[in-house]
Amino acid sequence: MDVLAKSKYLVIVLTVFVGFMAFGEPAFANPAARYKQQIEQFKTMLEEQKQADTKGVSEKDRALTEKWLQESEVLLANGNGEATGRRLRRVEYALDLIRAMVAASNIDALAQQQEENFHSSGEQINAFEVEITELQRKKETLNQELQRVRQ
Amino acid sequence: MNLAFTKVVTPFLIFALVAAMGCKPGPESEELLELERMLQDPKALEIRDSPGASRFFQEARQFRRVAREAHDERKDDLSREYAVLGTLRYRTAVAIAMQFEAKQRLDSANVKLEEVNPVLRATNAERNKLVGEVTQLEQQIGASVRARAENERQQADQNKSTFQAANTTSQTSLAQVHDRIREVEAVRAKALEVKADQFAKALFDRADGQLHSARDLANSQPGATDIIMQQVEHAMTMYREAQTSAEPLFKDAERKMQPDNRIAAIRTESQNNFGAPYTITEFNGVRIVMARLFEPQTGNFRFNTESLIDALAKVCQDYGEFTISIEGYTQRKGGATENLATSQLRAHKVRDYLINKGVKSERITTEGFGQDRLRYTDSADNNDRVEIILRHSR
Repeated sequence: MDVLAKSKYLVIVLTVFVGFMAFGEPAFANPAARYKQQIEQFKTMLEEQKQADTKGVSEKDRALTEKWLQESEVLLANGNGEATGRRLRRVEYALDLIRAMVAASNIDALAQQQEENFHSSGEQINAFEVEITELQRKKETLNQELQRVRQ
Repeated sequence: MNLAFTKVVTPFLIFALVAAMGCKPGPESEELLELERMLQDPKALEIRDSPGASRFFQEARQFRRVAREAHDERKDDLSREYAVLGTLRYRTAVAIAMQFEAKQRLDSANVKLEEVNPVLRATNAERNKLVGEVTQLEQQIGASVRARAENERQQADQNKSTFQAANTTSQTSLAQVHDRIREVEAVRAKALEVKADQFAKALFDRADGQLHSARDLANSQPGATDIIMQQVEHAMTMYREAQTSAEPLFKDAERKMQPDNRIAAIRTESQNNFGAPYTITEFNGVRIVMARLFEPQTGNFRFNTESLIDALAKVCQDYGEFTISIEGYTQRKGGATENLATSQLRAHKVRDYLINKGVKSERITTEGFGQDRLRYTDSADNNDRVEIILRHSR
């Protein structure tokens, strides 16, 4: 490979590198923008968990998380990036906790419902058995009645 | 010498003591103490061993370690921060352990239900059979009572002429009458083969009335053979008419009740009600896809979906010999475990609705598949759906 060809490859590689530096990952170029985007995402996720939490098991933790989110907004507005990052990490972990709590609560509700179904099935079987005894008695009586009216 | 030594060394000792006191870290923060307390709880070992929770438990321990290190380095704020994160991780581990316990309870309840369902079905089937038999007996008694009353009335009307006829010379012998009655009974049996007592009930009952009347008359007034024969012939004619009327209806009903025809009929009706794209042919039945039926991530029906579910209830009621499997699904939004629970809630919601509409619970089974098996890739909300499989139980 001659010198000219080597230079050509070098120019291409340099162009790609410069292009990547200029246009690649614009969101990470600005931490404040990234934090802002994260705050919005976390708000949405928190709202979703609020909707899913029918029994209100995560109410206290949601309130605390909302407070941390507000604090992170204030810290971000004051230009304190490091503290904002710390608060957002708390929020992220708190959301993991809330999700797990809500899921546990929902599965528990489902289990309870199935257990109730099981108990009601037992009661229903007993009720059917009582009804069957009565129906057998009635059938016997009606058979006798039919014999009588056909005579 | 000693005094000079003391004068030189004492300030150094005092300085070293003060420096040592100044370097010693202060008491641990409340957050760190709380984390310590949680991790030292005897239950923490159970949580560590719970499936899925160990990762969070280990993270909580790592945060405790770095929080202690930060405290030793007198970085109290950092120590407190790590302690808060550790506490959150430990509590997440606890919640996941609770999920696991709840899932075990759910599985256990499902197993128990599976065990009790066949008993429930068998008991219910026996009860239904008895209800049918009792109803049939009541109808038979009613018909017999009516026929008896009719016979008595006819007999009263004919008493006068019967007595007169008994005194006249009969052209027909009693033996011939009995032969003819047997022929009529044979025709009656043929009429019953095509369920004339159901499909031509009025005619059949009248024929029965005539036949009973003729029998009674033959016993009470054996001399009135002409009149008896007249009644017998009348009964014969009516039985034949009843048989002729009932035969096409019986064949039609029989044809319609054949499994293949019923399966074809339910497929057509499902397509008419729910649209061809939402109706899929299944072995011995049909699958109805009810897309976009629920609010996202909930078990609540969307607004204005009632008529659709009512249509489903009607199909389920009209085709009572079909089993009903309800499968719940969700879109891929939110956690997989949570979506699994939501999909099961959705299947139960539809089951409860059908039961309220009069569909028998023992025909229905439910299952939730969560966010697996997405059917629609173009519109995520369409996957908030249930799929109902109606299958002939032949």
